[in-house]
Amino acid sequence: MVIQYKCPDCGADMAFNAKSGTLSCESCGKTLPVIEYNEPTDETVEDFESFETQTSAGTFGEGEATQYQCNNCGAVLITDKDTTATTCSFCGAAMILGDRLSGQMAPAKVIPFSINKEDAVQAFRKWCKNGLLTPKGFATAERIKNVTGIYVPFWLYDLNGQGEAHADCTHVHTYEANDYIYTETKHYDVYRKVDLNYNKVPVDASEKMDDTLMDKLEPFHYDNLKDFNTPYLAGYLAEKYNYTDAELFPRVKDRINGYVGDYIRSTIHGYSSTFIRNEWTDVKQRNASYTLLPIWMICYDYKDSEHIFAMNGQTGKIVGKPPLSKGKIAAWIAGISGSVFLILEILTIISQGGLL
Amino acid sequence: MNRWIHKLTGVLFLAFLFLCISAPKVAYASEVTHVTDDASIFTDTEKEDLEEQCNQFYESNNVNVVILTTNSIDVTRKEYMEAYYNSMDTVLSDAVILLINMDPNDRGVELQGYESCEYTLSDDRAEAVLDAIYPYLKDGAYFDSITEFLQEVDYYVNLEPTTTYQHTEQDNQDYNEDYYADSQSSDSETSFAAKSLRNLAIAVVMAVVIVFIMAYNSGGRMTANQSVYLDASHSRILGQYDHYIRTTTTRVPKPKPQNNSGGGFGGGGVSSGGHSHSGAGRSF
Repeated sequence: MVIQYKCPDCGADMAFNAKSGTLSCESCGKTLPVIEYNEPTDETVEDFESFETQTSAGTFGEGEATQYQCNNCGAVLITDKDTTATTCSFCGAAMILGDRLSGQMAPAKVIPFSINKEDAVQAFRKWCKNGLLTPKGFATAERIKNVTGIYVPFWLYDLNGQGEAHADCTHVHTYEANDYIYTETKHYDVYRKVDLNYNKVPVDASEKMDDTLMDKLEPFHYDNLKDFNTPYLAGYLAEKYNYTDAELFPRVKDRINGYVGDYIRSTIHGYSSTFIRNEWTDVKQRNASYTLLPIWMICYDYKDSEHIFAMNGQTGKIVGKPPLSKGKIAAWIAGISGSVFLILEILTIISQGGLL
Repeated sequence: MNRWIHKLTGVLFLAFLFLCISAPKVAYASEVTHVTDDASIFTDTEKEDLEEQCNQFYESNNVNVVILTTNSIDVTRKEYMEAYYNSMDTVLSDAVILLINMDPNDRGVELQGYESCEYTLSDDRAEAVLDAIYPYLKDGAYFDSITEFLQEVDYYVNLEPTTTYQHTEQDNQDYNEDYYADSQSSDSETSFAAKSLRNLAIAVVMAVVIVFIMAYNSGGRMTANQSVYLDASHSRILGQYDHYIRTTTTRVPKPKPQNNSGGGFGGGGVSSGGHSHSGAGRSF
């Protein structure tokens, strides 16, 4: 059930090209649009068909010991149980494990990579150099250990959020009359009821990925969201989800409850003070689609410890904890406090009309 | 090492000389008329009482307190007092002068400190003294205002001068708790060094907070907010009202503009006779 894409011209392995958004052959340079890829070799026809059968039969079982063989060199593929796309460790051919992408496990959507490996490395180097607090040795970014393009499983939730809130608001107005300063406070009873829809809120469904890291990678642009098709995975790693949409719903619900509250507060404006007396919000799931999102994982060695960074494979946004230089932190604190102190001193002298 | 001892002896010798010269000066001082009540706002017994209090004040502090009251003057209060001091400088020496002018066109009080009192009763402190006696003057309790005045001045002349003393803020706070509820003066009393210390503290706290935020955000920030995922075309406000309940109104008296006719920044200055002094004044 291994899917491999062979070049119809020269027979070499094809991989997905992030720049052109097509399948391309490294040997002869042939490119094929992903959608129009309908000239599969004999082998892949078989594989695609079995992909389809598996969908209906749904024979895939969790932790099932399936052995995959490379169609090129016959080597046994070494994968862990979550991998859905990888490359053969012997001949380097791009492999897609069709049965792990079928049935319940079939992704609905995918955002293909738009940043290729070279650009990712270059962008990361630039990011390291721009780090204001990172140590000097780190800033040169010479120790990139490995860069891996992974399609990480996400659930994209379409959600309905409802909320109601009662608030005490005041409007304060001051004016002067007859040697007195009057403060007039008008009190209002304010009520809001909202019905909101949120589309495609992503939640990382892989247990290997750090949730906060993945959240920071947002936003992804959905104009490039495609229906899932296996050729997008050729040449990259891909994982399948570990948590179902129902299991992850509490996490997205927390987040959207906060959003609904934010929205309600944003509709109450024009007041001097707002005190929310009581607030009720509820979030319901309309739909969730299993989606693979492109992420570059960058492994970096610095002073014997490994730092892991993630890059949004679509927008190039980089997240991850870089090492911090104590010297630079001290220099920044000294610099800022020095200049603030100087400004305050000058202001003090001016306000006092000179030194005593 | 020897040089320092020489210098120290020199300074001590000079100080001794100075004491010898100034001693005869203060000998006259007890003959000073401390209370000159041209406006007749004190009764005779009050006047005697005040004169006695001022004498006692001089004995314990070596500072002449002069109380002047006038019905009308041709010059400003400040100039009037400077002229007074010029004419009396040999006998007054370290002096605090308080002028109460009852002229309806220029009803006000003015305070000046000369010689050592220029520093022990700096402009800021003079303002604080006026803050304390102002309510009495406003109510026409002139005798009480002078009694209060003597207490205040007694406190300040025994403090270190503001120019070198750095702990006035705490002292004043302690004092304020005892003597008056109005703590406004403690702020204006803060010496430059104390303000610098405060500025330094603010600067360091700001820098630490800024750098902490920088460090916190060095790993990337969460930039997606609710508007990114909100489907605005399918989102509605189902209900809303803003009901007016009531209006409450409070009022406070307008702060009185302070009339600093003492001149310069905060009331100090140099008289035409060449005597520099501190001071503060305001109308009542």
